Amino acid sequence: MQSNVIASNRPIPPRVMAVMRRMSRSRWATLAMLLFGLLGLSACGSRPGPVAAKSAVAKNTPSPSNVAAASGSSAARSSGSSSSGILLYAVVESHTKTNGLATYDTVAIAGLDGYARAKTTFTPATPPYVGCLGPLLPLEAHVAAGRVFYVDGKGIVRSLGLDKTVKQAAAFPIGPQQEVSFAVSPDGRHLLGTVLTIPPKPATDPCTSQGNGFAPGNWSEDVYAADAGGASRLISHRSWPAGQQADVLSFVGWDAIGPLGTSPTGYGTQGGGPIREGWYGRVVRVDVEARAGNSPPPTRGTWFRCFPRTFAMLKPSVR
Amino acid sequence: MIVGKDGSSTPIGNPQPNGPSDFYAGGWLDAQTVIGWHNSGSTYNEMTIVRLSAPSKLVDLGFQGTFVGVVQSG
Repeated sequence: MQSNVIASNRPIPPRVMAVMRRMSRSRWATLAMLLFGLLGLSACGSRPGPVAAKSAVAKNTPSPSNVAAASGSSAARSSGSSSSGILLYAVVESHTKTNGLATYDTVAIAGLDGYARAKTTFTPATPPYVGCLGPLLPLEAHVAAGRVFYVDGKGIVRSLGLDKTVKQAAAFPIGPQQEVSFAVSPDGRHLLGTVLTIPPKPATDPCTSQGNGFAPGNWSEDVYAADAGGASRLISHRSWPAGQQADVLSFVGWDAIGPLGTSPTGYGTQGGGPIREGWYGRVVRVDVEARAGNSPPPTRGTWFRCFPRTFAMLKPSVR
Repeated sequence: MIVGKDGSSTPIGNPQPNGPSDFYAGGWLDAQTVIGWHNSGSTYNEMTIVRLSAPSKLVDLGFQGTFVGVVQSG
Protein backbone atom coordinates (compact mmCIF):
# COMPACT_ATOMS: atom_id res chain seq x y z
CA MET A 1 0.00 0.00 0.00
CA GLN A 2 1.25 3.43 -0.79
CA SER A 3 1.49 5.69 2.20
CA ASN A 4 2.18 9.04 0.72
CA VAL A 5 -0.76 10.43 2.62
CA ILE A 6 -0.53 9.88 6.32
CA ALA A 7 -3.35 9.78 8.77
CA SER A 8 -3.97 8.01 12.05
CA ASN A 9 -5.38 8.69 15.47
CA ARG A 10 -1.99 8.43 17.18
CA PRO A 11 -0.22 11.26 19.00
CA ILE A 12 1.06 13.82 16.57
CA PRO A 13 4.66 15.03 16.66
CA PRO A 14 5.07 18.80 17.05
CA ARG A 15 6.19 19.57 13.55
CA VAL A 16 3.52 17.42 11.97
CA MET A 17 1.01 19.25 14.13
CA ALA A 18 2.33 22.47 12.65
CA VAL A 19 1.83 21.11 9.16
CA MET A 20 -1.68 20.09 10.07
CA ARG A 21 -2.52 23.47 11.47
CA ARG A 22 -1.29 25.00 8.27
CA MET A 23 -3.23 22.56 6.13
CA SER A 24 -6.39 23.11 8.11
CA ARG A 25 -6.37 26.64 6.84
CA SER A 26 -5.98 25.54 3.27
CA ARG A 27 -8.43 24.40 0.72
CA TRP A 28 -5.70 22.05 -0.41
CA ALA A 29 -6.65 19.42 2.10
CA THR A 30 -9.94 18.57 0.49
CA LEU A 31 -8.57 18.82 -2.99
CA ALA A 32 -5.60 16.67 -2.10
CA MET A 33 -7.91 13.92 -0.99
CA LEU A 34 -9.54 13.95 -4.37
CA LEU A 35 -6.23 14.04 -6.14
CA PHE A 36 -4.73 11.11 -4.28
CA GLY A 37 -7.92 9.17 -4.60
CA LEU A 38 -7.52 9.45 -8.34
CA LEU A 39 -3.99 8.19 -8.03
CA GLY A 40 -5.13 5.13 -6.17
CA LEU A 41 -3.61 6.14 -2.86
CA SER A 42 -5.35 5.63 0.42
CA ALA A 43 -5.49 7.38 3.73
CA CYS A 44 -5.89 4.87 6.53
CA GLY A 45 -8.54 4.93 9.20
CA SER A 46 -10.28 7.71 10.95
CA ARG A 47 -8.23 10.57 12.18
CA PRO A 48 -8.70 13.62 14.32
CA GLY A 49 -8.62 16.81 12.35
CA PRO A 50 -6.16 19.47 13.32
CA VAL A 51 -8.66 21.47 15.29
CA ALA A 52 -10.00 18.42 17.09
CA ALA A 53 -6.55 17.32 18.12
CA LYS A 54 -5.67 20.77 19.36
CA SER A 55 -8.85 21.05 21.34
CA ALA A 56 -8.36 17.68 22.94
CA VAL A 57 -4.97 18.68 24.16
CA ALA A 58 -6.09 22.06 25.38
CA LYS A 59 -8.80 20.55 27.53
CA ASN A 60 -6.24 18.49 29.36
CA THR A 61 -3.64 21.10 29.96
CA PRO A 62 -1.91 20.22 33.20
CA SER A 63 -2.35 22.54 36.10
CA PRO A 64 0.67 24.53 37.21
CA SER A 65 0.93 22.40 40.33
CA ASN A 66 1.24 19.40 38.12
CA VAL A 67 4.14 20.75 36.11
CA ALA A 68 7.34 21.40 37.96
CA ALA A 69 9.84 23.52 36.10
CA ALA A 70 13.30 22.05 36.02
CA SER A 71 15.61 23.94 38.28
CA GLY A 72 16.98 27.06 36.67
CA SER A 73 15.79 26.28 33.20
CA SER A 74 14.35 28.72 30.76
CA ALA A 75 15.61 27.25 27.52
CA ALA A 76 18.18 24.81 26.30
CA ARG A 77 20.71 27.57 26.73
CA SER A 78 24.38 27.12 27.12
CA SER A 79 25.80 26.31 30.49
CA GLY A 80 29.22 25.91 31.91
CA SER A 81 28.05 23.03 34.07
CA SER A 82 30.10 19.89 34.12
CA SER A 83 28.91 17.20 31.78
CA SER A 84 30.87 14.27 33.12
CA GLY A 85 28.86 11.35 34.38
CA ILE A 86 25.42 12.83 33.94
CA LEU A 87 22.66 11.91 31.58
CA LEU A 88 22.70 14.04 28.46
CA TYR A 89 20.44 13.95 25.46
CA ALA A 90 20.23 15.64 22.08
CA VAL A 91 17.40 17.83 20.92
CA VAL A 92 16.62 19.92 17.87
CA GLU A 93 14.91 23.26 18.20
CA SER A 94 13.12 25.54 15.79
CA HIS A 95 13.32 29.30 15.80
CA THR A 96 12.65 29.68 12.10
CA LYS A 97 9.72 29.44 9.79
CA THR A 98 10.42 28.59 6.19
CA ASN A 99 7.57 28.72 3.70
CA GLY A 100 5.29 29.12 6.69
CA LEU A 101 6.49 25.99 8.45
CA ALA A 102 8.59 25.65 11.56
CA THR A 103 11.98 24.24 10.58
CA TYR A 104 14.75 23.10 12.85
CA ASP A 105 17.75 25.38 13.00
CA THR A 106 19.42 24.49 16.29
CA VAL A 107 20.83 21.32 17.75
CA ALA A 108 21.81 20.96 21.38
CA ILE A 109 23.04 18.47 23.91
CA ALA A 110 21.24 19.17 27.15
CA GLY A 111 20.88 17.81 30.64
CA LEU A 112 17.91 17.12 32.87
CA ASP A 113 18.14 20.69 34.13
CA GLY A 114 17.26 21.94 30.66
CA TYR A 115 20.63 23.56 30.13
CA ALA A 116 22.62 22.91 26.99
CA ARG A 117 26.18 21.66 27.39
CA ALA A 118 26.80 22.09 23.68
CA LYS A 119 24.74 23.89 21.12
CA THR A 120 25.01 25.11 17.55
CA THR A 121 22.82 26.46 14.81
CA PHE A 122 22.50 25.39 11.21
CA THR A 123 20.78 26.36 7.98
CA PRO A 124 17.25 25.01 8.17
CA ALA A 125 15.71 22.90 5.47
CA THR A 126 13.45 24.52 2.92
CA PRO A 127 10.26 22.47 2.79
CA PRO A 128 9.65 21.41 -0.78
CA TYR A 129 6.41 21.80 -2.63
CA VAL A 130 4.69 18.41 -2.47
CA GLY A 131 1.49 18.97 -4.34
CA CYS A 132 -1.68 19.72 -2.44
CA LEU A 133 -0.28 18.47 0.84
CA GLY A 134 1.74 19.68 3.77
CA PRO A 135 5.33 18.45 3.49
CA LEU A 136 6.70 15.86 5.88
CA LEU A 137 10.44 16.24 6.26
CA PRO A 138 12.79 13.37 7.09
CA LEU A 139 14.54 13.22 10.43
CA GLU A 140 17.29 15.79 10.57
CA ALA A 141 19.34 14.47 13.48
CA HIS A 142 20.58 11.20 14.94
CA VAL A 143 22.82 10.26 17.85
CA ALA A 144 25.85 8.04 17.32
CA ALA A 145 29.16 7.54 19.05
CA GLY A 146 28.49 10.14 21.70
CA ARG A 147 27.76 12.89 19.20
CA VAL A 148 24.64 14.24 17.58
CA PHE A 149 24.72 14.22 13.79
CA TYR A 150 22.50 16.67 11.95
CA VAL A 151 21.88 17.66 8.36
CA ASP A 152 21.33 21.22 7.25
CA GLY A 153 19.24 22.67 4.47
CA LYS A 154 22.07 22.21 2.00
CA GLY A 155 22.49 18.52 2.71
CA ILE A 156 25.67 18.85 4.75
CA VAL A 157 25.87 16.41 7.64
CA ARG A 158 27.82 17.57 10.65
CA SER A 159 28.21 16.33 14.19
CA LEU A 160 28.26 18.15 17.50
CA GLY A 161 30.11 16.72 20.45
CA LEU A 162 30.06 17.30 24.16
CA ASP A 163 33.34 19.15 23.73
CA LYS A 164 31.37 21.63 21.59
CA THR A 165 33.32 20.71 18.47
CA VAL A 166 31.51 20.56 15.16
CA LYS A 167 32.81 18.23 12.47
CA GLN A 168 31.61 17.73 8.93
CA ALA A 169 30.72 14.09 8.44
CA ALA A 170 29.36 13.88 4.91
CA ALA A 171 27.67 15.83 2.15
CA PHE A 172 24.53 14.79 0.32
CA PRO A 173 23.96 18.10 -1.46
CA ILE A 174 20.43 19.24 -2.15
CA GLY A 175 18.80 22.18 -3.83
CA PRO A 176 15.25 23.39 -4.44
CA GLN A 177 12.59 20.68 -4.48
CA GLN A 178 14.91 18.19 -2.86
CA GLU A 179 15.02 16.69 0.62
CA VAL A 180 17.59 14.53 2.31
CA SER A 181 17.44 11.70 4.81
CA PHE A 182 20.44 10.10 6.43
CA ALA A 183 21.55 7.50 8.93
CA VAL A 184 24.78 7.05 10.86
CA SER A 185 26.29 3.78 11.99
CA PRO A 186 26.48 3.37 15.78
CA ASP A 187 30.25 3.90 15.71
CA GLY A 188 29.79 7.14 13.79
CA ARG A 189 32.09 5.98 11.00
CA HIS A 190 29.65 5.32 8.17
CA LEU A 191 26.73 7.26 6.76
CA LEU A 192 24.00 6.64 4.26
CA GLY A 193 21.81 9.25 2.68
CA THR A 194 18.96 9.62 0.27
CA VAL A 195 18.21 12.62 -1.86
CA LEU A 196 14.65 12.78 -3.08
CA THR A 197 13.94 15.11 -5.98
CA ILE A 198 10.33 16.20 -6.30
CA PRO A 199 8.75 17.61 -9.47
CA PRO A 200 8.19 21.36 -9.50
CA LYS A 201 5.07 23.33 -8.73
CA PRO A 202 2.97 24.10 -11.79
CA ALA A 203 2.33 27.67 -12.81
CA THR A 204 -1.43 27.22 -12.68
CA ASP A 205 -3.58 26.21 -9.73
CA PRO A 206 -2.09 22.87 -8.75
CA CYS A 207 -4.97 21.71 -6.62
CA THR A 208 -7.72 21.20 -9.08
CA SER A 209 -8.98 17.80 -9.99
CA GLN A 210 -6.98 18.02 -13.18
CA GLY A 211 -3.41 16.80 -13.34
CA ASN A 212 -1.32 15.39 -10.53
CA GLY A 213 -0.43 18.56 -8.65
CA PHE A 214 3.00 18.92 -10.21
CA ALA A 215 4.50 20.56 -13.25
CA PRO A 216 6.05 18.22 -15.79
CA GLY A 217 9.14 16.61 -14.39
CA ASN A 218 10.46 13.46 -12.86
CA TRP A 219 10.83 12.29 -9.32
CA SER A 220 14.21 10.83 -8.55
CA GLU A 221 15.82 9.10 -5.65
CA ASP A 222 19.55 8.87 -5.12
CA VAL A 223 21.08 6.78 -2.38
CA TYR A 224 24.57 7.64 -1.19
CA ALA A 225 27.11 6.11 1.13
CA ALA A 226 30.00 7.86 2.81
CA ASP A 227 32.60 7.28 5.44
CA ALA A 228 32.67 9.98 8.08
CA GLY A 229 34.69 12.87 6.78
CA GLY A 230 34.98 11.37 3.32
CA ALA A 231 33.35 11.89 -0.03
CA SER A 232 29.92 10.48 -0.67
CA ARG A 233 29.41 7.95 -3.43
CA LEU A 234 26.24 7.19 -5.32
CA ILE A 235 25.09 3.62 -4.80
CA SER A 236 21.60 3.75 -6.26
CA HIS A 237 19.63 5.96 -8.61
CA ARG A 238 16.20 5.76 -10.07
CA SER A 239 13.63 8.15 -11.43
CA TRP A 240 9.99 8.05 -12.40
CA PRO A 241 7.43 10.40 -13.97
CA ALA A 242 5.40 12.83 -11.89
CA GLY A 243 2.18 10.92 -12.35
CA GLN A 244 3.63 7.60 -11.30
CA GLN A 245 4.04 6.38 -7.74
CA ALA A 246 7.05 4.60 -6.28
CA ASP A 247 8.11 3.31 -2.89
CA VAL A 248 10.26 6.15 -1.65
CA LEU A 249 13.02 5.19 0.78
CA SER A 250 13.95 7.39 3.72
CA PHE A 251 16.60 6.55 6.29
CA VAL A 252 15.48 6.77 9.91
CA GLY A 253 18.22 5.13 11.94
CA TRP A 254 20.93 2.52 12.27
CA ASP A 255 21.00 -0.10 14.98
CA ALA A 256 23.34 -2.98 15.80
CA ILE A 257 21.97 -5.00 12.90
CA GLY A 258 22.18 -2.31 10.28
CA PRO A 259 20.52 0.69 8.70
CA LEU A 260 16.81 1.29 9.09
CA GLY A 261 14.54 3.08 6.70
CA THR A 262 10.92 3.55 5.87
CA SER A 263 9.33 2.55 2.60
CA PRO A 264 6.99 3.49 1.15
CA THR A 265 7.61 6.81 2.86
CA GLY A 266 4.98 9.51 3.10
CA TYR A 267 6.21 12.88 1.91
CA GLY A 268 3.10 14.86 2.66
CA THR A 269 0.03 14.92 4.83
CA GLN A 270 -3.47 16.17 4.51
CA GLY A 271 -3.98 15.83 8.25
CA GLY A 272 -3.65 13.23 10.93
CA GLY A 273 -0.38 12.15 12.40
CA PRO A 274 2.12 9.34 12.26
CA ILE A 275 3.34 7.66 15.38
CA ARG A 276 6.75 9.23 15.42
CA GLU A 277 8.22 12.23 13.73
CA GLY A 278 10.25 11.29 10.70
CA TRP A 279 8.98 7.71 10.58
CA TYR A 280 6.45 8.18 7.84
CA GLY A 281 6.06 4.68 6.53
CA ARG A 282 6.66 1.02 7.02
CA VAL A 283 9.99 0.33 8.68
CA VAL A 284 12.44 -1.63 6.58
CA ARG A 285 16.01 -2.74 6.93
CA VAL A 286 18.45 -1.68 4.29
CA ASP A 287 21.14 -4.02 3.12
CA VAL A 288 23.96 -1.89 1.81
CA GLU A 289 26.39 -4.75 1.52
CA ALA A 290 24.39 -6.73 -0.98
CA ARG A 291 25.80 -7.09 -4.45
CA ALA A 292 24.30 -8.71 -7.50
CA GLY A 293 24.98 -12.40 -7.57
CA ASN A 294 26.19 -12.78 -4.02
CA SER A 295 25.46 -11.80 -0.45
CA PRO A 296 21.93 -13.20 -0.30
CA PRO A 297 19.50 -11.06 1.64
CA PRO A 298 18.68 -11.94 5.20
CA THR A 299 15.81 -14.28 5.72
CA ARG A 300 13.80 -12.01 7.95
CA GLY A 301 12.34 -8.60 7.50
CA THR A 302 11.96 -6.29 4.59
CA TRP A 303 15.25 -5.53 2.99
CA PHE A 304 16.36 -3.27 0.28
CA ARG A 305 19.34 -3.99 -1.84
CA CYS A 306 21.35 -0.95 -2.66
CA PHE A 307 23.85 -1.31 -5.44
CA PRO A 308 24.41 0.68 -8.58
CA ARG A 309 21.42 1.03 -10.82
CA THR A 310 19.32 -1.48 -8.95
CA PHE A 311 16.91 -0.98 -6.18
CA ALA A 312 14.63 -3.78 -5.18
CA MET A 313 12.35 -4.36 -2.25
CA LEU A 314 12.09 -7.94 -1.17
CA LYS A 315 8.99 -9.50 0.23
CA PRO A 316 7.91 -7.77 3.40
CA SER A 317 7.56 -9.95 6.44
CA VAL A 318 7.64 -7.49 9.29
CA ARG A 319 5.97 -4.20 9.94
CA MET B 1 0.39 5.96 29.83
CA ILE B 2 3.12 3.63 30.91
CA VAL B 3 2.36 0.03 30.13
CA GLY B 4 4.15 -2.75 31.97
CA LYS B 5 4.98 -6.19 30.71
CA ASP B 6 2.62 -7.51 33.36
CA GLY B 7 -0.23 -5.68 31.69
CA SER B 8 -0.33 -2.88 34.20
CA SER B 9 -0.86 0.66 33.05
CA THR B 10 -0.10 3.91 34.78
CA PRO B 11 -1.35 7.25 33.49
CA ILE B 12 1.16 10.01 32.92
CA GLY B 13 0.27 13.44 34.16
CA ASN B 14 -3.29 13.94 35.23
CA PRO B 15 -5.46 13.08 32.26
CA GLN B 16 -9.18 13.30 32.61
CA PRO B 17 -10.88 9.96 33.09
CA ASN B 18 -10.83 8.14 29.78
CA GLY B 19 -9.34 11.24 28.22
CA PRO B 20 -6.15 11.72 26.27
CA SER B 21 -2.91 12.28 28.11
CA ASP B 22 -1.45 15.75 28.32
CA PHE B 23 1.97 14.24 27.72
CA TYR B 24 3.31 12.94 24.40
CA ALA B 25 6.23 10.57 24.65
CA GLY B 26 9.32 11.11 22.56
CA GLY B 27 11.60 8.43 23.97
CA TRP B 28 13.30 6.93 26.99
CA LEU B 29 16.23 8.66 28.59
CA ASP B 30 16.87 5.66 30.80
CA ALA B 31 14.88 2.84 32.34
CA GLN B 32 13.17 5.23 34.73
CA THR B 33 12.73 8.40 32.72
CA VAL B 34 10.59 9.22 29.71
CA ILE B 35 11.09 12.39 27.69
CA GLY B 36 8.51 14.01 25.47
CA TRP B 37 6.48 17.15 25.32
CA HIS B 38 3.33 18.61 26.71
CA ASN B 39 1.12 21.50 25.76
CA SER B 40 0.19 24.13 28.27
CA GLY B 41 -2.36 26.75 27.37
CA SER B 42 -1.23 28.46 24.22
CA THR B 43 2.23 26.94 24.36
CA TYR B 44 2.99 23.80 22.43
CA ASN B 45 5.78 21.34 22.54
CA GLU B 46 7.29 22.14 25.91
CA MET B 47 9.93 19.50 26.46
CA THR B 48 9.09 17.51 29.52
CA ILE B 49 10.33 14.52 31.44
CA VAL B 50 8.42 12.07 33.55
CA ARG B 51 10.01 9.77 36.08
CA LEU B 52 8.35 6.44 36.69
CA SER B 53 8.66 7.05 40.40
CA ALA B 54 6.27 10.00 40.06
CA PRO B 55 4.32 9.48 36.83
CA SER B 56 1.76 12.14 37.62
CA LYS B 57 4.42 14.83 37.82
CA LEU B 58 5.46 16.44 34.56
CA VAL B 59 8.83 18.18 34.81
CA ASP B 60 8.98 21.01 32.31
CA LEU B 61 12.49 21.38 30.93
CA GLY B 62 11.80 24.97 30.04
CA PHE B 63 12.23 24.96 26.29
CA GLN B 64 10.59 23.75 23.13
CA GLY B 65 12.24 21.10 21.05
CA THR B 66 12.22 17.57 19.76
CA PHE B 67 14.09 14.70 21.35
CA VAL B 68 16.75 13.08 19.18
CA GLY B 69 18.49 10.56 21.41
CA VAL B 70 20.62 9.92 24.47
CA VAL B 71 24.18 11.14 24.03
CA GLN B 72 25.55 10.10 27.40
CA SER B 73 24.08 7.79 30.00
CA GLY B 74 24.03 9.03 33.55
